[in-house]
Amino acid sequence: MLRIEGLRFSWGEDFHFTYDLSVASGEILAVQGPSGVGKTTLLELIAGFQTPTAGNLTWDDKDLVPLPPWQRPVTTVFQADNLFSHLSCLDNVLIGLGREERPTPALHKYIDEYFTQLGLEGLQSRMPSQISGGQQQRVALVRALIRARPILLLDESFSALDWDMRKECFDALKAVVASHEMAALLVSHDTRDAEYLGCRELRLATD
Amino acid sequence: MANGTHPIVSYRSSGAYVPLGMLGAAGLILIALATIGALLGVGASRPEGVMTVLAGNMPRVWRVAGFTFWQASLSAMLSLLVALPVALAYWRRTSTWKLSKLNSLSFLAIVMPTTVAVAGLLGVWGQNGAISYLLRAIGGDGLSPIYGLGAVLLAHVFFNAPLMLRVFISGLSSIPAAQWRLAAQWGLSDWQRFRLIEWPILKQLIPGLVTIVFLLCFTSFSLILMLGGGPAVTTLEVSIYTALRFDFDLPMAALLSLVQLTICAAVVAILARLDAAGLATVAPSPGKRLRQPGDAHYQTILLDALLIAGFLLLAVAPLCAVILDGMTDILLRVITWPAFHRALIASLALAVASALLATTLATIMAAARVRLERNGRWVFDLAVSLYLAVSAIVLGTGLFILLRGMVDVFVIAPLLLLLANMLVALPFAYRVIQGKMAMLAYAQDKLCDSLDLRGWRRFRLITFPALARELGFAAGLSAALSLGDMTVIALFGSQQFQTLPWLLYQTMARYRAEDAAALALLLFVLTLLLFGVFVKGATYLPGRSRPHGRQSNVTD
Repeated sequence: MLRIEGLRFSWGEDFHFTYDLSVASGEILAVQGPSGVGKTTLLELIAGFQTPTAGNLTWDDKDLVPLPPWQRPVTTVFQADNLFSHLSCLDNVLIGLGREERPTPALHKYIDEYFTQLGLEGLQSRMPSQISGGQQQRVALVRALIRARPILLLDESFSALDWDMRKECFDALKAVVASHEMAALLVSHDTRDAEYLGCRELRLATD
Repeated sequence: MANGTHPIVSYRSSGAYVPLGMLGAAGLILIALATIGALLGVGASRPEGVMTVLAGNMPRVWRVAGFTFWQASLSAMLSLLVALPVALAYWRRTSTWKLSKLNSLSFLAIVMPTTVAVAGLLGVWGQNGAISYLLRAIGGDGLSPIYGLGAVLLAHVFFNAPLMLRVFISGLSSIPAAQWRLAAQWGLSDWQRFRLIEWPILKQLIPGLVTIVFLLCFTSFSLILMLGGGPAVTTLEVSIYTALRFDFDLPMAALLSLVQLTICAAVVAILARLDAAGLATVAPSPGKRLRQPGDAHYQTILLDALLIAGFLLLAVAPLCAVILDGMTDILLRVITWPAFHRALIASLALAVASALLATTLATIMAAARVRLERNGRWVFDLAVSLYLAVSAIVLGTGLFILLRGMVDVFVIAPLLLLLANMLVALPFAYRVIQGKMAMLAYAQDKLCDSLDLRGWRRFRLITFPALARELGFAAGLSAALSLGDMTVIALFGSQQFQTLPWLLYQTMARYRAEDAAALALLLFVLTLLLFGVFVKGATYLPGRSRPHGRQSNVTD
C-alpha cells in the first residue's frame, strides 16, 4: 500500500501543496485537475525528484522520503523524452533492468509479447528516431512493465496517443498492475481514461 | 490541495561530477595564478621595481603593443569583410550549386598547423609561388616577397575567414523555413531580404565573432615569427619569445607577458559580456533555404560565383599548394630521417595525450557546471576562459620562471608542452561539449536516476554514446591544435626534444624548401588523420545500438 499523509511541498513562500492519499497494491488511481495544481509535483515527490517539507510517504509501511530516486520501488513513464536516442527500442527496454538482472529467453519472450500487444511488433531493432512519438511512449511503457517495480507513475504518458491506441495501452497496464500487484498513479487530463480503466479518481484543486 | 500555479522545478542528478569539476576548476585557477604570480615576482625582482622598468621600456612596449593591437584589429576586420559576403553567396547557392563540400573543405584551414599554412601560403603567394609562376608565364613579373604586415594579414584572413564563414552559415541555417517562404511569397528584393531576414541573425554573431578572431590574432605567434620578416613587424608574443629565448631578459619577458595578459583579459571580459557565438557553432548544422526570386538574376549569379571562387583561391589554393609541393620523391627521403621519427613520436604522443586530457577535463567541468545552481556556474566559465587570456607563450614564460629554480625545465619540456597544449585547447573543447551536456542533463537526469543509471554505468551506456559526436570533435580539435602548436616548443625545444612543427620551422629557416614542403605535407596529412580518427572513431565506440541489430548493447 502506497500511503501519503500530510505530504507537503513548498516552492518559495508563495506556492505549497499538501497531499493525503493512498493507493492499494493492484489498484490504479487517476489523478486529475487543472494545470499547475500539483499533479506532476505529486509524482515527483513519490519518485524522489522533489523533497517534501513535511509529512509521510510510505510503501508497505517503509518510509520512502530518505531514499534517493534509484532506491525507491518506483518506475516512471514521463510525458516525453523517455527513450535514449542512441539506443534501439529493445535496448531502451533492457536498460530498465536492474544492475544485477540479466535478460533471459523468458524475458525476451515477455518483451516480444508486450511489443505485439501494444502494436509495436517488429520495432525492437528500430531507433527512436525511426518511430512515432506515440510508439516511443509505448516502448517506454514496455520498459516500465518489465521493470515491474511495485509503484508505477504515469505522467500524462499517453496523451499523445489516439483513443484506440490508448485503450490498448490501458489493457496492458490493467493486466500488469493486477498480475504484479502494482500501485499505479496515472496523471491525465481526459476523464475517459479513468472511466475506461474503471479506477478511482483523485481530483486536485487549488485551495 | 494547492494554493496556486507554480513554476517548474528542475531536478539535477548529484554525483561525482561537481566535486571533480570543482577540483579541476581550482587546479586551473591555481596554475593561472601561479603563472601570473611568477611573472609579477620576476618583474618586481629588479631593484628599481616593476613600474620603473616598465616606464623605462615604455616606448618599446607601447610600440609593440600598438602594432599587435593594430594587426589584430585589421585581421579581424578583413576576415569579416571576406567571410560575410561569401557566407551570403554560399547560402544563396547552397542547394543549387552543391556546395556542402566547400564548407567541409574550409574547415581544413581551421585545423591546419600554422607552419603548414605558411608553407601553403608561400606556395601560392610567395616569390616562387603559383601566382608568380602564372604571372611570369604570361610575360609579367612575379610577386614580390610577401613577408611583413601584408603576409601576416593574409595568413590571419586565411585562418579566420573560414571560421567566421562556418559560424555565419550556421547562423543563417537557423533561420526558420517559414521566413524564407514568406520572403518568396512577398517577393522581397535582395536588399529587403538581407535587412529583414539575414541581418538580424548575422548582427548577433558579428560582435562576438570579431572579438574572438581579434583575440586569436592578438595572441598569434608562429605566423608572425615566420612571416613578420623583421623587428618592424613584431607582436607582444614574439617579443616575449625573443626576450626569453635570445636576450634571456626574464624581467622584460615577464613585463611583456603581463601587458599581453592584461589586454587579453580585457578582451575575454568583453567576450563574456557579448556571450560570443562560441566555437560550438563551428560544428556543421543542417538548414534549408528556399529559392528566392532574385536568385536567378545573372548579376547575382556572377557576383556569387566570383565571391566563391575568390574564397576558394584564398582558402583552398594553399591546401592544394601544400599537397602539390610536397608530393615529390623527397617525401620518401624525409620519412627516413631519424629527426623526423623522433619528432613524429613526440608530436603524436603529445597530441593524443593532450586531446584526451583536454576532453576529459572539459567533460567533467561541463557536467559539473550544469549540475550547479545558476549563480555558481561562473566559476567554471572563469576557470576555462582564463586560458583564452593566458596565451601559450605567457603560460610557458610563467612556467619557465616558476620552475627554473626547482628543475631543469628543458628536461621536463615534454610535460610542460603537454600541460600548455592541454590548457590552450581546453576553452575550445569546453565550448564544444558544454551545450550538448546541458541539454542531456536537462532531458535525462530524472530518467537516468529513476532507472538507477548512475556513475560510470551511466557515462558508459548513456552519456558517452549520446555525446560521442561532440567528444570526438573536441578531442579532434584539441589534437589538431596540439599537433600544430609551435609556441611552447619554441621556448622549450632543443636538439633532444623536437616536434614536427618545430622541425618544419627549422627546416624552412635553413632554406631547405623542398624538404620543408615534404615535411609540411606529412604534418598536414597527419593532422587530418588524427582529427578524423577522433571525430569518426568516437561514433564507432561501443555503447551505441546498431539499427536493425538484435544484439543488445546495454546489458553488462
